[in-house]
Amino acid sequence: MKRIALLGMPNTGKSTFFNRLTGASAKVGNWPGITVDLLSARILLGTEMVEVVDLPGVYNLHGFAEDERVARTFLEEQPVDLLVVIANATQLDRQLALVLQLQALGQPMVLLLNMIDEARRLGIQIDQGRLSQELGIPVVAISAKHGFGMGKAREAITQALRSAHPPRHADIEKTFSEDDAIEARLEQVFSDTVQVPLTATDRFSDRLDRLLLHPWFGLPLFFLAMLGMFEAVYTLGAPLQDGVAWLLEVIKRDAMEPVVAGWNPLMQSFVLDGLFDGIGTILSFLPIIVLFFLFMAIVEDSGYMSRAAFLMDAFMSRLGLDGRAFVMQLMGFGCNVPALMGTRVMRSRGLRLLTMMIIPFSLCSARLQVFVFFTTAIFEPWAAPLVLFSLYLFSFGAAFLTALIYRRRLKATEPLLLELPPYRFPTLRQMWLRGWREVTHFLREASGFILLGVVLVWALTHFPTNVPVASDQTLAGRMAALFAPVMEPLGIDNLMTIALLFGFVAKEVVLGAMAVIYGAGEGELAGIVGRNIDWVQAYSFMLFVLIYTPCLSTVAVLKQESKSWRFTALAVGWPLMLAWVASFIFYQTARWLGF
Amino acid sequence: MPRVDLSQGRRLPSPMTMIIICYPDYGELLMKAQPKQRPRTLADLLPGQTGVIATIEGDPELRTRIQSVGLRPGRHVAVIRRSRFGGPLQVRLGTSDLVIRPQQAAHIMLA
Ligand SMILES: Nc1nc2c(ncn2[C@@H]2O[C@H](COP(=O)(O)OP(=O)(O)OP(=O)(O)O)[C@@H](O)[C@H]2O)c(=O)[nH]1
Ligand SMILES: [Mg+2]
Repeated sequence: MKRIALLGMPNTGKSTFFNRLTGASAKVGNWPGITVDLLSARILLGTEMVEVVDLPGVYNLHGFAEDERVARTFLEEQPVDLLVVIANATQLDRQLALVLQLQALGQPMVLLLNMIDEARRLGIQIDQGRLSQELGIPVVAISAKHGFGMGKAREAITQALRSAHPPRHADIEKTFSEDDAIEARLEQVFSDTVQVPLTATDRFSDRLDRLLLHPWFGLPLFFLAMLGMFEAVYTLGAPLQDGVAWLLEVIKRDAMEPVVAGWNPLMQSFVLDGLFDGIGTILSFLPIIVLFFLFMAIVEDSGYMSRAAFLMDAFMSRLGLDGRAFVMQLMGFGCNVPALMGTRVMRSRGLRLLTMMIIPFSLCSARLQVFVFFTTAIFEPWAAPLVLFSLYLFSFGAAFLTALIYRRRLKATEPLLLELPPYRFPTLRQMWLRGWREVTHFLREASGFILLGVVLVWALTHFPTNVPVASDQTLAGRMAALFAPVMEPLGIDNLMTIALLFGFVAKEVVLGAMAVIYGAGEGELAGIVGRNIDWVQAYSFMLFVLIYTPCLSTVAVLKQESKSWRFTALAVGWPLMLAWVASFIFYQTARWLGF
Repeated sequence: MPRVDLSQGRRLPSPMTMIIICYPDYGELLMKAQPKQRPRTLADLLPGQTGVIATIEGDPELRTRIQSVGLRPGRHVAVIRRSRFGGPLQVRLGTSDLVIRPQQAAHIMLA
């Protein structure tokens, strides 16, 4: 099968094009370094099946970052029939350098000038024919985001593939010496083919930046925007969630209970209290998750992330980090795993490890479910969003404290050089793709080890069968009793300890486990929990959930990315200790103050 | 320019005062106070000023890094804004905007 590779500088729209071309749903975002791993899909081009590979962006074939190495290793080790180079048409003065460098590899190539919509708006004129002539390769102007020029691009790729020689590996070492010659050529090709009006700046971005990057108001506005976003997710999501919970109750009562009525009680309990309540409770959070990720999609695609890096860099540098680490923290609000992978853009190992230390404190969407549940169950409606926001502040606090403590051991020595892309807004199509991605991801997780976790909780809380469910004599009860001396000073009782134990697998399991333990669906669960614990206990529990190990997937990725067991042990052990200390201080102080 | 003199053994100002005192960007104030002389590196430019890159100094890795994002000799650059507390600069290079720390900008010599 023939193979084509999508290459280009970061943030030029490779993944957007990849999605258009193959119908895949690769993650897209207005931040250089969204794709950090290989992604491939197969499509029919002309008459043959072709493998298309989306690569991480590279500035230079001789770069030293992990994501650049991924791209480079791929080119060196895998035979490729055709390079499809994607360049940002508004920045050809910078981007042609990579095109010329790639040309020195001598592989067949097609150049796509992406974001032609933005180039037109800025009044940039590109003589495509001339450019194609000077470079000696096909050139097509496209807008991957809006779908313009896709037919022509497809045609050009098919054509070029047909006449391609046998696939080759790239000999990148050889091209090292040619960098200087490239520079002279770049000037010439650019001035021959591109005309940029003198005032070609994005005035909208400039004006917005004057406000959002304001020396005094920039940061407060940033935090205000965040607060606003969480408020919105909360106010819009809560009713939706109630709706789903209600629906699940109805299904349970009218469909499930009649069906299992004749079964033996243990099987009944397994199906109703274990599977249905456990999984149902987790599923009832699907609307909030989707909503949350739609907002995240807007934030990630807006270009505000890079601005956040600009605003926070001075502060982060005092913690031994840089602005990008802050952006990874923000990305971690969605899910810690891609954020941890995102650190591949960092070259210095110290900086990377330190950033990987702090990302797991980011309050991810799975933890958000737990907190939405508890804040709604325990606090007044007006206070709930504020309590939620306070947890986000703790999330930052724990991360910054950790960086302060470890910055000497994990020393960072890396220059910061970052692009500030113009502000953009995702199309409906892009938002839909993102929402769909997250739903499938969520369902895959829920049907995998979350299901396993819930079944385990059910088993442990229901055996032996001759004692009350989830009592101290059950297996789970005995396990929890072991931890009681440690957890009691935090105000966390045995039942909640069981939930925490299983929350180690994934935070979604915490709620599933509670539903199983109390034998109630999401609808009733809130009432039960509200009666069983007070707000001090609930907050102490939430602090613990916030800070301790997020989930097994993050542990696996921490190991995979650090390639060090020692670091992984530290990155799991330290938060566990911090979680205990934070909850202890909070709980004991609150009780001492008389709450 | 406000100053805190800690050498005379007086007690430290309160945290609030510290915040207020620390807020202005000393680097920038200092630069504004200095007699006008030609900026030598990109890091010396004030917001709104432009220059032409002459050479890029530093170790090869840093030089490659700087050049690969497009900061090459001969190109016009403008500083759009500087962030507070000695934070990074927003630099405009043709139609692209870049964020660069002053430490690295100081390696970019202007003509
Ligand atoms: N205006 C406009 N924006 C586009 C176009 N194509 C992509 N974008 C936007 O450009 C940004 C980057 O897109 P991606 O597809 O993530 O870019 P990438 O090249 O895969 O980036 P990395 O994976 O980080 O290297 C996103 O905000 C896209 O919405 C286009 O044709 N026009
Ligand atoms: Mg990508």
